[in-house]
Amino acid sequence: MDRQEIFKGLQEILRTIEGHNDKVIDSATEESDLKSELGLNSIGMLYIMITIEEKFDISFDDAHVEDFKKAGDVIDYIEAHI
Amino acid sequence: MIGLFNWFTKLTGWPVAFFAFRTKIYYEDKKVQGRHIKGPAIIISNHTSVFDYAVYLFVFFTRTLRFQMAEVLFKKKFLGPLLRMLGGIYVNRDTYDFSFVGKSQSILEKGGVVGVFPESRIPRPEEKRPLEFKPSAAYLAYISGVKIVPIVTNGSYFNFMKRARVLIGKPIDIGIWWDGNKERRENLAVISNRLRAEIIRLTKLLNKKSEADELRPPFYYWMNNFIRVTAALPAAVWFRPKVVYSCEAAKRKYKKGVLFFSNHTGFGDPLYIMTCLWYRRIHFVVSQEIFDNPKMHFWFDTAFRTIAVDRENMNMNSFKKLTAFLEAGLAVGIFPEGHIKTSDEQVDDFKNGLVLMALKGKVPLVPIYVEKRKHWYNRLVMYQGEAIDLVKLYGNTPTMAEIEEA
Repeated sequence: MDRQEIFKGLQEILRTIEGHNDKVIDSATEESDLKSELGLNSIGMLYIMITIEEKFDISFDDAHVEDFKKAGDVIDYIEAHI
Repeated sequence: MIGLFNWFTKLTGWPVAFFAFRTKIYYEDKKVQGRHIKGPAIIISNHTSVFDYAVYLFVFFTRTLRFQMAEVLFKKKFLGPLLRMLGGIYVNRDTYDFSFVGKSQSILEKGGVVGVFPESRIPRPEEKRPLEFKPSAAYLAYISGVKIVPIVTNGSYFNFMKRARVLIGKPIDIGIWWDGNKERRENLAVISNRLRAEIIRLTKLLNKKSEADELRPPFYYWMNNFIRVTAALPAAVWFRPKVVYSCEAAKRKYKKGVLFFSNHTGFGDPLYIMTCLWYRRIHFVVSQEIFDNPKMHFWFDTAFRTIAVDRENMNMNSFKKLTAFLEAGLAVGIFPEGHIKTSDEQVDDFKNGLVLMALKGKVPLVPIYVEKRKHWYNRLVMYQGEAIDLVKLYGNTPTMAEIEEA
């Protein structure tokens, strides 16, 4: 699975969880800030992490929600643990 | 002779193994494969320690296990001869001596059980587990036509606080994975990879199955019960607790997993709630700073088994531990305001992490309001509301907007 596919998977998760904001999610890049641009608070981030674990079959065991600032940070983590 | 020595070792070594390993055995499907292996079989396992073999010796008590073992073990002064007498199959990894294959095959033909650690060595701490599998187990199954029984261990031996846990998987007939269009070498490589994937799957299953048991450390219940029983009478006399229910449905007693959430007026709140809800052992969520305080650590960790959470920067381990408690049917208490509220009456906005916890733990949320006692002689009054079933309200995958609304 390459970065592009991981990013698409992440966008799908964001769409399911956010429920709206489709335009923001579609225009997101790896540089997008999770808090200010994608509007995720700490609980939203936690929810994303749980859903990523289920979708990509990885584990975020020692990760803190504040470890991830940009969408690219999440993709880096998934890529390293997949 | 080997069989006789195996029996002698098992019978005399059993009491030592019982205390050294305290092995707990799980099954993928006990009806298909239990502890007694019928007929010839190849056992494959992940490799965590030199004691893996010793553990399996007692797991499969009724059979004589003939494990393939590395040359280094046979060079040991005492261990070498012992392993030979127990029937260990000598494997020299430094040469092209494949006599161990013939020996293993002849044991299987006689109806015996051969054990293989396909990783061929114990992984180093920095290495990803399990290591790539060598094709020996797949090859042995191919030439003998014998099924493979996969097993996994957590490798926790000689650990007083953590038991050894072993999971026995369902036997695998590698014939179903054999592709007639491929070369033998290619087939064996594919099957070895699939066996490795099977060991990874079983390791996850073992972790899942043992999760609930891991939450109950040795002596915890004895100690916790002792504290609760000895404190119950003085607390009842001192606080004279009174529980007011919001309606008839709120009077329910919760025997399975439940998440109690309450306002936070002071450090005594957990004690008040435990006094009022005397029928349940409640594991409270506490802030990481309090949990890590050396003077309080014993009480929070060992005596009351609380769950530490860094509220400002949530760790996934804490969240998983919390949901594991709930899924295991335990009661968890939380003060979602996140801090002690010193002024009266007004309750702060609750942090919506609480909703996510209840949804992922698949448990009802029960609201509690503890009335602050104005004087020490006032009765302790606690209000309990009706349970809220969030899964019924929002389903298993609510949107963030729904979580915030909840």
